[in-house]
Amino acid sequence: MVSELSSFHVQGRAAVSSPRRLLQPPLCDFSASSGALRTALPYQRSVVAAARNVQARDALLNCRLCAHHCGVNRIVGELGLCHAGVSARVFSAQLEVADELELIPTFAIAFSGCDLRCAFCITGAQSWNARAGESFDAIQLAAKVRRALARGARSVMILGGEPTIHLPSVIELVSALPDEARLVWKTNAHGSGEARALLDGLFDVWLADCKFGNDECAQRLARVPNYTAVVRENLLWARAYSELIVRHLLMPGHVECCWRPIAAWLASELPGVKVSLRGGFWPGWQTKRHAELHRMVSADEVQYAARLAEECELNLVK
Amino acid sequence: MSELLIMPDGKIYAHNLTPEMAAVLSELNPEDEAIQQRVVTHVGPETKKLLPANWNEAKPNL
Repeated sequence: MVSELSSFHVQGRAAVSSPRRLLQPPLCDFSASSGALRTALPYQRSVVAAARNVQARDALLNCRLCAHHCGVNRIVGELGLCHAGVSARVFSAQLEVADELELIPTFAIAFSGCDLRCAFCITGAQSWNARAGESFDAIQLAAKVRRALARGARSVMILGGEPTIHLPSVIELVSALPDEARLVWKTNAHGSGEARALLDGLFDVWLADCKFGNDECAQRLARVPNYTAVVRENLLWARAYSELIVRHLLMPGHVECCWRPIAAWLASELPGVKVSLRGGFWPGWQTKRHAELHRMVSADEVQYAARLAEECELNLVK
Repeated sequence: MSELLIMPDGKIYAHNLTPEMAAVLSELNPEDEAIQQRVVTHVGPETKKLLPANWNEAKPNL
């Protein structure tokens, strides 16, 4: 028996010629050259997060947190493509060990709802439904985080669904978390520049999905346009301003069209970046709508993907 | 809560894997490197200090 682990409960942005901070938050003077922004902050992270609460809440008045740029007023009940309202909900908060070895055990907090519609989403019922799960309570979650850290958790992971669409709640949560905790931002990398400005310096690690190697597959399987440009922009930004692990979930029949171009781009534009190649594709949720997704990834596909990674000299992590 | 998918050939796919479920899976297949790595890293250094010297990391008492 072979155990193949996959923890892609969230899914996982081309090219800013030079990644830069789009909005300078108050109270902060970040050092752009630092790979560990938090340690360079003149204020504690929780204080910085608290200072952004109002700004984050105001972003819902004309929501452009993700790259769909819906522009809806979520405060008055308008819904964008993600269908998220003002109040966030959480469908899982527990200690987990399936993620990258350097991060586990991690206390993973999963927000309901997502801005993508991936047919193969492993948590589709919660990720496609922003009303799934329980009401978000920052104080209660922070208490759970403290217990998990005392139990031996190495990191705290914020994920979804997609947490970007709930940035006001995320920032409220960060303001309540211990400053010494190692915070991981698990994202589909489809956030906007506005979202990046709000996130800047708050997370130690970006664990970012790079799901599709071309816009056609992204549109067909996740109903998202202009995918590669958005994801690449976010990856470049994340690499410049935090630790970054790029995660790709191998999909059956998509090694050549998706993994090969991703591997080539990473080798060219983000040399040395940590890459997590995941083999635990699971044909559930809406995969029945796509013929090639009816099966698991084959051993041949896994071997071929690994060979491509080796040819591109990627820095694979487990 | 973890979710498992057990294939006819015996492969087990897991997501939202908790330390407790990792310990169970490691019992099922002690030879599997991926699951063993996840069992032995589930306890942090501070907690390890509190454990007996002969504590078997591969089979934690959860």
